[in-house]
Amino acid sequence: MFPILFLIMAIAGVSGIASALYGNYNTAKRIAIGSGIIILALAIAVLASAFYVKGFVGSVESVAYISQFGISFSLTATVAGIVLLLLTAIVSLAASITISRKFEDERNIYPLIMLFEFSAIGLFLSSNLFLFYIFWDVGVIASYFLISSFGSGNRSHAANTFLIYSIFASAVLLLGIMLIYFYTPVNSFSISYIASHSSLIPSSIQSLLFLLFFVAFMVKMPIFPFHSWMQNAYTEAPTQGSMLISGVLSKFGAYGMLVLFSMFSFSSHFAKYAFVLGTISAFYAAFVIMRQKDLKSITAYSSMLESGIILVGISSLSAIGTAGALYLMLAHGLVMALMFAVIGGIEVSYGTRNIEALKGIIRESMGSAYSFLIGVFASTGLPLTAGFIADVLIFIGAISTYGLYGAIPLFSILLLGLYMYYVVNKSFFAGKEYSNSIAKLPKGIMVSSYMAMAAIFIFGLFPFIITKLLGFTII
Amino acid sequence: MLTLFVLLPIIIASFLALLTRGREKYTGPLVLGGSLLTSAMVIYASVSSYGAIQQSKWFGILGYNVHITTQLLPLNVILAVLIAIITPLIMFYSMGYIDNPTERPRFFFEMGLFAASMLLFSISGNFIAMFIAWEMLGITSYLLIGFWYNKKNPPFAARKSISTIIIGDFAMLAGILAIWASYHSFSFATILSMPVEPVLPIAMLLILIAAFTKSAQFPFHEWLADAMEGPTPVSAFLHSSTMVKAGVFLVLVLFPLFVKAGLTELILAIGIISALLGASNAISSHHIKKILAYSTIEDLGLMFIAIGLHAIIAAVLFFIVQAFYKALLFMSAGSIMRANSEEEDIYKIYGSYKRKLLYVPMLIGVLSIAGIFPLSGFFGKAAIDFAALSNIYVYIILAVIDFATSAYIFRWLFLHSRPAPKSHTDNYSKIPRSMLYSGAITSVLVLAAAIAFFYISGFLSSYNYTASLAITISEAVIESIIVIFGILASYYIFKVRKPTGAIHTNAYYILFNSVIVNSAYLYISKAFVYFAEGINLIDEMIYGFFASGSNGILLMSGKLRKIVTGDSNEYLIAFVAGIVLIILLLLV
Repeated sequence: MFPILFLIMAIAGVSGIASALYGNYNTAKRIAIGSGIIILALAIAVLASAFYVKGFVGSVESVAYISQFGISFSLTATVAGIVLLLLTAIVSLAASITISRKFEDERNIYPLIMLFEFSAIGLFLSSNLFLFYIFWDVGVIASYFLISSFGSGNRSHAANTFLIYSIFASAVLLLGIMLIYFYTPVNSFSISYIASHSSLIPSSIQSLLFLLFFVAFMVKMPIFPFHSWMQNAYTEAPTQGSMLISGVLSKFGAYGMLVLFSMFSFSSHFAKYAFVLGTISAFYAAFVIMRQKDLKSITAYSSMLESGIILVGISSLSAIGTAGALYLMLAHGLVMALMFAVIGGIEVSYGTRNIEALKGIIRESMGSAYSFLIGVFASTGLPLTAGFIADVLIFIGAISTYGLYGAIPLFSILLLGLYMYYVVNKSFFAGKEYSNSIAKLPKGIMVSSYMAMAAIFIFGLFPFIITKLLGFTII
Repeated sequence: MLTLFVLLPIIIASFLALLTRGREKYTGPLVLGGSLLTSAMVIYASVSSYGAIQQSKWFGILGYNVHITTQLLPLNVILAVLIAIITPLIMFYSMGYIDNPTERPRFFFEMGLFAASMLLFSISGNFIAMFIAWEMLGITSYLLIGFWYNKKNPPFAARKSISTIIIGDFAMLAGILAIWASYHSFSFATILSMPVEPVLPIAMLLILIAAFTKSAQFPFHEWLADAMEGPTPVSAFLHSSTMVKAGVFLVLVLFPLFVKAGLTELILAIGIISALLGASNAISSHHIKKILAYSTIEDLGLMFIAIGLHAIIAAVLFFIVQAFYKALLFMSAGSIMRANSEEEDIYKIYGSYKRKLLYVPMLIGVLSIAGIFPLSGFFGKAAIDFAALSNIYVYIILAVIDFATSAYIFRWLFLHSRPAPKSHTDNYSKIPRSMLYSGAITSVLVLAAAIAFFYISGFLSSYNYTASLAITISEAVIESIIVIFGILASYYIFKVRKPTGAIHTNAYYILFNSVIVNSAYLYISKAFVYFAEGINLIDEMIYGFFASGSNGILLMSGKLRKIVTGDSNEYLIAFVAGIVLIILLLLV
């Protein structure tokens, strides 16, 4: 079979290096956008082959790597991997198109975007924990530099906070991976092998193992109480960085959670705690949002809320709930790309993100106002946007497992909606007075937000594109 | 024909309306044409596929299929035809009403989608189709209420409406999914035919909350009065056949489930409270449109009372007749406001008798809502009153409400038909023709709707759980006497005593209780904000906790770093001391 997964990785890697080495801002940008389009096309091809080529889902492309330990560089196209590959391709392309304020200095942002895309694709496609860990850290490095070099405000503080939390998560994750390999009879890095042999893991070590993985993924999602890095990282990062970090990097943790719960059969013992934690996290975020004034931190906490909902879906342990969690990862990634692109545009046009200062945006920038409104619709799971399908599936799963308690987290989205409409009517669709724009809305931001919007509606109107895949096992 | 296709013309016309920027005189006719075509298709479909339930698969997941189901059972046909009749009239009215050409594409786009979502709601045969329509209704009404975002109040009104409505949306979603988790189906027909599951009472309660939010019942009723900030065609549409009727219709369609869940007493109680609140505020309000809005809350309360009394046919009859007279009254109110330079305070509006084409249709509407024989409103109210005869308390409350209705609607009429003082200028001659003609056509429909009384029982005969519809002569006489007393009271106060402004007595503050309800809303939202404040403090503490942890590590590193001086003597001393320590440890 044609090694299409390797090809995608190679394109991401090579074009990243090319954009780092060659030329000026424009060349780097063109390389990034060009390769982004090619990767998106290939991702769609992967999706198509998953439908039409028998045996494609779950097939492994492998090259020997460190054969002494049985480690190979092997990529596999699981259902979750394909869906998240698609998300990564869309969000990275949108991020490459977006430009932010001081764009002439930002030649080096494109190699970083490509590096991030490379790591994300590698992580979602990797078939063993060794590669998973490597790409996990590469993603952290790319995001760190995105924040620390191109961020605004107190960016070094934000980047350092992010790095400290990430290193903590990485260390814990590494410990977990090594525990599986060295201290259990499983003795392998391969995810599918561990999944089929997880009953061999002695019960004395099970809780510890679960806890290590769970905490590592919690930090990345982020789930209460390990979320403090998020607000700073999301708000101080540049527009592209926020899009990538909230859209894709937080999915590292969510995807990890998905792997964790399908890899260890004993994780079902801990599911109810995960459910409670996800619920707390969602409500916590919903209440924190109510006192936020910065559009970016509002969106950041809404991302934390959705992460809680994703955890609820995964912890329902039912096939439908898990499928819904996967769908929400896709939907939410797109929504975050849209929201941060729009907010980036507003920041360029008005010089502020504070809702106290922003007034009547619709008077001068109708596109931004309606895009933001559609973002609000999508994040509250309105029908015909992708979020609706996700919410329906997740809460069907949660209600089947936990009874009517399973419906409780749904009302955190209600709280989010209440505040979001407050913001919309305060700053966007309001009032006699309005803020004057200080600059024209960059075209790139418009294009990328339209792209994300189109994707939101496509996956909302035609959910069978994804749900057809779900006949296969997800991991 | 696939029933869903009836939606196509109006949806396509709405999207095309967005493209008419620069050629705005075509926008109105375009959407009017689309809605007429849709209406024709609705009527054709109601005849050709009457009673049909059609499933179209949307997507399948893990062995389950999610369908968009449509059904054209008698109830669905009634609502769909009602919408099919009223939509073109409202569009026609709007063509004259929206006189600023730059606003037209956006207005007709949103109105078209609003109508389409209500139509989808009326023909929906499963929870998925219904929920899609339900949410679309919510957001299109939100956009329409906040249509004039440049003004001061509409954004607040829009936010209030959406905030109330999404409470219902999420309650409903939770209810639907809970039902699916037990029944493994979204289809109404399947769920209605299956035995009761333990989850049903709570799930139906959640759905009932949703119905109450959409239909503006206590304690979710105040948004409807604020929604008057929107353009008048929106109010006319919202109060007659769309949006607020959605909640009632939902309860009608799922009525057997509400009976099984034991919720009819709750429906009755909430209906009574809402009807009383609506009537009392309608008597005391000063806003020409809000009087009618509170009157709608009362009407919807009456429908819920009828449903609570299991008098389904009476509820459906009132459902039909209310749509016509309320659309007519709102159209008239819009015309009157237009002639009085958009003045909203009814004490500052004069002379509505000056234009006969406005006044005569409006009079028909007023007589109908008051319940004068033989207008359609009479039959609707008398049927509900008759159903309440079994319960004397409910009957007395209904008598009070009937009295109040005729009193406040004639107050409304008497106040804005006063002769204008010299200082006041009005231009009744400049009301656009389409606004008057559509009102006149609607008044004919108000007259014709009385026929529904004679055919409705036969039409709904397939529902075997409904009580029969009947009005006795004695009942009709009592009802008429009550109504006449209401008119006389109103005549005495507002025609004989001729007040020029508000009468601020203690009774006024009790009647006009929307202030109290609104401040209750405010306190609830403030409680949430204070709670959020607390959570934010906790958030800072968590951040501080982790920050102080890392600061501690930094501090330690700062102390340790000082050991590394590069001074070889110090290293040597430390080295020797270390060796001594090790030797000592080995010896011990």
